[in-house]
Amino acid sequence: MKLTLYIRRDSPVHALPAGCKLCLLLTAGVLILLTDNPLLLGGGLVTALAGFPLARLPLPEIFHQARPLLIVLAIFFTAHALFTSIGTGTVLTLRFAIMIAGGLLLTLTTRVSDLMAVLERGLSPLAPLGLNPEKASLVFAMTIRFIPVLAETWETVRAAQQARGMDRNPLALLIPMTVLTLRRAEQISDAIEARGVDL
Amino acid sequence: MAARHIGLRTAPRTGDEDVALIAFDTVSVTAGDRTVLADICLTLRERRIAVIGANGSGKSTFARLINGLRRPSIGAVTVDGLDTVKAAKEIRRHVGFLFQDPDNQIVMPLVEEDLRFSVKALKLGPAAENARIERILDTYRLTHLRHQPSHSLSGGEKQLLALANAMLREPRYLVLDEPTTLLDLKNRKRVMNAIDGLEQTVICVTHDLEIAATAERVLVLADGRVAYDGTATDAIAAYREMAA
Repeated sequence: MKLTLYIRRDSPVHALPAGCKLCLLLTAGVLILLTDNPLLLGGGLVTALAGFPLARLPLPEIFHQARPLLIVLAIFFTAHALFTSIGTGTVLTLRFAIMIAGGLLLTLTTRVSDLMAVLERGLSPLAPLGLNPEKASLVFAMTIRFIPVLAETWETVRAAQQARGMDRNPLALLIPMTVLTLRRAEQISDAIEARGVDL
Repeated sequence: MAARHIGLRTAPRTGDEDVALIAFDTVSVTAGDRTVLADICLTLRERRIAVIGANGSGKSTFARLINGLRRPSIGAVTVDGLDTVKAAKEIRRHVGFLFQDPDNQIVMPLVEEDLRFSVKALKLGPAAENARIERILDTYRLTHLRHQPSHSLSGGEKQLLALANAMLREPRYLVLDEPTTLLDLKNRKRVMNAIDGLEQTVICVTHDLEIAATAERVLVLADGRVAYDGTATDAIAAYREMAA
């Protein structure tokens, strides 16, 4: 699995300040809760999706990466259609789809360091309450940075267990994955400390 | 043409620098009931030092003591007179560290962002930070990769980025903990060539005897003790004998 996060392009979406994009995403998150009209929500989804070609992103590659999310959305919709109603399923699925598309667009077109700067500024009023904005934004950045690394580790563990015929046993996958992730976390913490960054 | 061996060759000194000094004063490290290092008493003045030994002999702990990542249970480690525990922050300014797995020392998603993260801790101001990043990208030939996701780099490029991060801080010492273990021959050569030219004092923990052979002084660790301390030729011969 090859995961891509920020993709550098010369586009109006990339040029928008990170704070502006984050505000748009938050506003969209609020607005979609104020309506349950499928047409309005559908329009919102089309608008969010229009951002991808506008950002000159490689659409087939992104579609390939987003496929697992689409499967989750399809299962979500089917469950609602079966147990509540098709209408409710449609509205909830559209809301999720808008937020997923918006979130993807944000991470694909914004450098993490820019998002960190916005987060640090946004969280600074909470500093008197004991929250360290720098640490919080570092946690965010590292979460993004290590998504591909963890995905690769998962693939390695799965291949190793497959070779032993144990890939269908969830414990055989989860235990080594947890151990490797904890060990990695310790090494990363050492590496950050070695760089002279206060944790 | 004579074969050129890669390793820890000493770069020529550029001036009348003070003699660098790392001192271990009766240092022991324990982890639970286990003694990781015992009674280490030595002074390091050479500019290219290699530390070799079997797995579990205490090499990595030895390396981590030098920049305060590990605290001695007994005794003290000083670098240019500064205690690595009491003056940990200053020590890390002067002692760069390169880990075995480059994937675990790159923090930010993009190459340039990762360098910026390191240099930010120095609080130099935007102009000086930019100048330093440009210079280091150029030195380690990473300029063309500056906007690349760090996870997409090759093993050698990742290790060079990690080295660039350490060198951004312009340390006086560089501690390498098996820096080439996970690299193929080409990338190993690339990384060691970069290390070769450094003016800094380099302490390299390694299993690679070809690298150790080029050091001015080699320590052989066994069961947490310094089993041999001497020239590369003698130390490697002693290590081979121990391993036989």
